[in-house]
Amino acid sequence: MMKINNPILLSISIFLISAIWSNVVGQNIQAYDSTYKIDGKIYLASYEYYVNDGDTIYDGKFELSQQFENQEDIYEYLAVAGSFIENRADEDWKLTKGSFETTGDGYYKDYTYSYDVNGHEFMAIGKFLAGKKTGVWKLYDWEIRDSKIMDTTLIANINFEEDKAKGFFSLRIQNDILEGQLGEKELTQDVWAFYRVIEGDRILLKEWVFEGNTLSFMRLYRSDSVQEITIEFPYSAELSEEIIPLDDEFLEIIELKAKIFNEELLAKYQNEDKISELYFTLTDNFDLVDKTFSPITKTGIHPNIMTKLMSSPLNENEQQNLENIRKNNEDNQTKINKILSNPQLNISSISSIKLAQLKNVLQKINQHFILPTSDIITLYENQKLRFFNRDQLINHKIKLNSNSSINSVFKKDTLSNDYKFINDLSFLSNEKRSNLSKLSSLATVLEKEIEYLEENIQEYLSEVQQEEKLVELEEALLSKYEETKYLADSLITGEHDNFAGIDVADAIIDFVDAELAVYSNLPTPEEKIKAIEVLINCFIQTEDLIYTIHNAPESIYKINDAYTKEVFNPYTFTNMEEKAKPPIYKAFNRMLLPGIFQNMEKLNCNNMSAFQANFKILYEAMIKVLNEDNTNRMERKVKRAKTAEKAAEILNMELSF
Amino acid sequence: MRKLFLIIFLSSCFHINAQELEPEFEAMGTNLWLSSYNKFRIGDKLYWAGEMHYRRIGSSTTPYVDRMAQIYNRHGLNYVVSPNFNFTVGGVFRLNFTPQPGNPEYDPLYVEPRIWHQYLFVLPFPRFMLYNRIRIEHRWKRGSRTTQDEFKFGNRWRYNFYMKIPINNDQLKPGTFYVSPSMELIMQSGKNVVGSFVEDLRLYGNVGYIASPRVSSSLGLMYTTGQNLNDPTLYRRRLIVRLSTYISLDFRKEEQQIPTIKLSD
Repeated sequence: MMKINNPILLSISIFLISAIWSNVVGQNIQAYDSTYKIDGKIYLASYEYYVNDGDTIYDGKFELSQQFENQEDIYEYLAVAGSFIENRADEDWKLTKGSFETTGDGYYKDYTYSYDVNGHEFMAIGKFLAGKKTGVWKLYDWEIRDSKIMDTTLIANINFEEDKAKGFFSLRIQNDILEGQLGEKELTQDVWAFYRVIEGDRILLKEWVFEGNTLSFMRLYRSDSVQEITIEFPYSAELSEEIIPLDDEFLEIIELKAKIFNEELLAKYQNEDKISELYFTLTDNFDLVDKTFSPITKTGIHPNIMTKLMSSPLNENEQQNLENIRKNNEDNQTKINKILSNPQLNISSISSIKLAQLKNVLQKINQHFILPTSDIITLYENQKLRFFNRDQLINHKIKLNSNSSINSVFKKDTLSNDYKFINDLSFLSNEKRSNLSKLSSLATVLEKEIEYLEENIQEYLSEVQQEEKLVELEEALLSKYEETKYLADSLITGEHDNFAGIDVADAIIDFVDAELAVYSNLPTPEEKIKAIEVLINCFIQTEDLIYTIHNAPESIYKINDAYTKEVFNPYTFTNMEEKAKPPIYKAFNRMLLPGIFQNMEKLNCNNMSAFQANFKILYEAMIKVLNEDNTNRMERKVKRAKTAEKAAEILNMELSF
Repeated sequence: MRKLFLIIFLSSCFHINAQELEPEFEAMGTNLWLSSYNKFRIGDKLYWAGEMHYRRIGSSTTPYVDRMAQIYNRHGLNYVVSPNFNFTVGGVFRLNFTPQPGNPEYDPLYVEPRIWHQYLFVLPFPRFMLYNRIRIEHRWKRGSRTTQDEFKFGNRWRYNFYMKIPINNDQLKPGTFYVSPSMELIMQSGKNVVGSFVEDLRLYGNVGYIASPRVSSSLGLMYTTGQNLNDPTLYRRRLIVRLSTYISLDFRKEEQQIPTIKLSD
């Protein structure tokens, strides 16, 4: 105990204390009871304060409330009550927040008309000491039914010392419970236990065991058995301890480490493992409180819970390999996505087994090599790879032991047809190489393998396209074939047969039948592809020919008319028809016209144009020869002609037979 | 018209006389007439008509063709006024052969010139044609005896009614067979005609074929009967086989012959 013996100093001290005291006591405490605006929201506030140098200093009771009906007619309210000492939160604080809606018909009580309500209410209570959280803070959430608490859905307790979470904390949300310990600097420590209340009994499902603030084990409980999953450290001479927040990213790292240790076990205890998410419910509720508290108290209750992880920094060689893997894997991913998103491949793979197999191989490569590599690269890019044993991680993602370990991914699926990499994978057997180094080589090999597969796919796609084209063309061919026969049947009549001396329609139908039969007997699709377009064009020409033949009688009658003259018979005294240049007309009628019609019996795709042109040539030549002055010699000669060819030659008609 | 009246009048007289005289028929004679009828078109409506007849007469031993009877050429200009009416004017140069070859009392060959004109009325029907022909011939005729017979002028008045009925077609056109019934009454007049006004009544049936507008032919059998010039009570009878060809040629310039070509476009 310090004593002041000097009277002068004592006097000065008394004066100064008096001055300060008078200054404090002399503050003009005022009360405020009106609206209060926080982050654009309006509240009703009632608090005590004084003004110092123009600043409002809260001092004394503080109450804040807000109530309103939202757009869905739900009544919402919020209330904060506490006290400040010289602008610092102090003593007990309470936050209540809830929402209600009326239920039932209502009733008259105490001179007012009241309704029961349904809803929920959240409450946080705790203590500050001069602005610092202290003691146990409690959070509650209740379900309200008919104005009564029906269920407590959340109870959380967390202890604070000197504004830091420390010691025991617990959380219960419905039937799930988390209990744990926090050490200095809000670091995880001891054992965190996850329970589930089943029929009134607390059943332990999972434990996180922290050794020296570092998660070393996970224990998973089921019935009487307990499984332990070791969270292994990376193997390195430069191992170091890092403090990191206990957040989503930490849990992702832990989950992956657990999978590396024993994925099957983790999968088996998936249900128990998932209870870890309970921790985030606790932090979410702290956030909820802070959202209201922080603007008022200038501090939050959300603890920054931290934990420790062992890390092994990447060496230069590893970084070089990873950069190589990243580049190649990105390229491989782009290529494979491009190939797999090709609509032609997707459609054709339905009908082509070979394409389906190649597509499946690519999907397997993507699924078993590209995507796992991407996961590894993501860890590298997010600076998380340092927390893992790289060999173990890569081995967990991709088995790089040997050729067979790579090719084994295709054996699981019959559609892959036991595909084997064509590129050399012998480097996998080199035990001196790290998995990271092997993965780097594999990424390079995959690039070549994908290129090879792409070439194969393009080749098969080309074949499929040809086959599809052939199918389309064959449909067109058959359609044209039917049309041609129909046209021949409908447009060529007995009238034409009379000119021709043969059944013209039958001759043409025989021709198209024969051509189709020849096409059908072609042994290979390649030959059919070569032949089909020619044949379709041939049938189109045949249609033209049919139309020409159909219209031929018109020309024939014109020629007949042109060659017909009326002669007055001075014995019967009637007009009689007589042919001009009778030998020529006779040659036309008896040889040339039947001749060009009878060509239909020796029709083929090559002579069709010429045979079709005959009709026009004959018509024009007959008109021309009719108008010629001196055809006597021609007429005499044509009388002796025995064949259509000879007659055409004599009459200078360039007809084809 | 006056001549027509005369014929009717004379016919009535003959009828009166016939009641007084018993008619007798000569034995049936037979003939073969080969005829070539030719018409040459020389203008739009004008034809040169030329006929060539070759006639033989039969005997009891050689019917139809025993000896020559006549050869004659008939020529004329035929003007077709319309399809329904035409007329012809021309001459005939007829050569008669002796009825008794080797008998010096008869001329072996003597002429009988004629001038003739005819008027043909054509009535077309949908399925056949009907013709009414009036032919008038002015002839200088003599008997066959060398010394006794002299040329005497006389007239023949001929009315011919005939039809042409197509058999295998609706109309008369090339390729058609037709049947042609014909009846012709030939009256005569002249100084030497006393009571024998009916020279010939010809009932003729023939079947023809129209090979082309320019060539036709027919074959038929004709029965004729008529009064003997010297004895009106004596009637001559004949069966005549007739074979005829009908040729029609166009002698106009070629460009006039061919009508415009009937082209629709």
